Amino acid sequence: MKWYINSGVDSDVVVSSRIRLARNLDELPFPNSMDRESSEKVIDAVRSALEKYGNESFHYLDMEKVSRLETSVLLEDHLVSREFCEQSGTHKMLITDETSNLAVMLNEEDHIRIQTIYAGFAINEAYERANAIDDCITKGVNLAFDETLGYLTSCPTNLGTGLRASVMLHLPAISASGYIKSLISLMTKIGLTVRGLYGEYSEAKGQLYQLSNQVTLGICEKDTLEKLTSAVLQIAAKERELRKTLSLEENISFQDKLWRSYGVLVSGRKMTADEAAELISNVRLGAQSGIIPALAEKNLIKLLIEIMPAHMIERNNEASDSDIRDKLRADYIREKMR
Amino acid sequence: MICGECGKNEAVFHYKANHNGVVTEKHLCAQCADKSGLMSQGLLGAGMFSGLANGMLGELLGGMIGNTGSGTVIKEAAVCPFCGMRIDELMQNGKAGCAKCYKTFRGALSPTIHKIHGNTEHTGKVPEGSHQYIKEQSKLADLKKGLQEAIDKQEYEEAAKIRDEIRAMENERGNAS
Repeated sequence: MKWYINSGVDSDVVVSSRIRLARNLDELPFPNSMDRESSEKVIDAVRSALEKYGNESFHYLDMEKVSRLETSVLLEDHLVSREFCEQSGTHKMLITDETSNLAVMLNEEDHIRIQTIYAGFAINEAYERANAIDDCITKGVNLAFDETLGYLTSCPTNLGTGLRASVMLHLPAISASGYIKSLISLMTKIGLTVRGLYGEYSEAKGQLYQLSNQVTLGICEKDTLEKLTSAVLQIAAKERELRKTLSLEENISFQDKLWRSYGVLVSGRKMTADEAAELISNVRLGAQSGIIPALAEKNLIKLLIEIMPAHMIERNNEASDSDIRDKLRADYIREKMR
Repeated sequence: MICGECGKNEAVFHYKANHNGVVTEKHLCAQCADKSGLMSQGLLGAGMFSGLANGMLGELLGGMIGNTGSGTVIKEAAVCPFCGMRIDELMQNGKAGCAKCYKTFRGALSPTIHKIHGNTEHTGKVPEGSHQYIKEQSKLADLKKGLQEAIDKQEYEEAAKIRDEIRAMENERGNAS
């Protein structure tokens, strides 16, 4: 099961909602200055806490036994960070659940990074899940906590709640209308950060943007989530309004662009991941503004992830060669567009 | 901001000194700060400076060093007794070595933390088993917020209930101390 199998609430604009809670054990050095023995202690402590207090079964993935391909698939699924995949002297482990909405990284930048990811706009649900896992771990270990500074984290930017709440937004209309820069400066003023999912914000591939809270100290979890929610609802309203304007029948060059993207996707014979991401972003907009009704029911985010390199190779080993991969990608997309 | 000395590079070192009421300010790039010898008057030696110029956190930390107000040197332990992290390493990497580093280097880190978060007092979740005080503090903050919301919505009956609860909590605390 993957989190992007479902589409979720408000998914026309909000692709996914994620929560990250940073936690550390009180008596051990942080991963950047710990030895291997300490990293094993973290794994043992968290594992036994989850087994003792969690009423469900978890999967434990030893990152030293995972192949490079599997690691890349995890990266493309947004379940682990790049830093987590790098080899270091410490032992790393990924804990997931049946739904793959949960991914706990052990010994990344902090001892414990509880992450939850849900399709669509489900930030509260994602927080509740992460919080329940946090409660469960808390019962079994002594967490580093200070009355004034809150949860103590390796990087001072995460002190306090250790909470990063973020949503992935698909903003093709806001991008096309040239509002991204002003959106970013507006969000910065209210303590939120906007980043392009891939590449710089000004030319984010696939017009996917990540919106998250910047401050973690002096603001409680509830207020952090409320602030993000209110920003998301306003951005979504603006995006929808602009989509409507762009979709007007007299706006023929806009319609042409979307239909041409569709044309390339259904008939192309060779395609890079970058090109495909751009085209899929266009037809996704077309599908949701009613311009390309044939695609209304398609899960295009799932497609966007499935055509990434590691996912391609996982399905067919021949895709290890990038030329063959581009051909297989075009074949796969044609098949899925039918 | 451009370096006030060479006028070419980005200023990463911001120094403010107050001598008998006369305030002098300098904004320098890494090279000029190094040459001027101002670095050695700050908290740390010049050796760690190059690392500071890298990344946003480095800049924040750089700003903090120059911002000691009167130009006085903060005296604090230079090495964390628990993990062995040196303050200059911490400044360079922007990462603490262990939970105790925050106690060891509290004075040096406090302006940085304030710069990042604008607030240096935690409100929010407290792990089970933590001090009762902070739990109450957190509950009290919630109640006060609820009171304001009830007043805003003109739900006076609810507001009165919350007010009584706040009073009870505050009285209890008063008696305890």
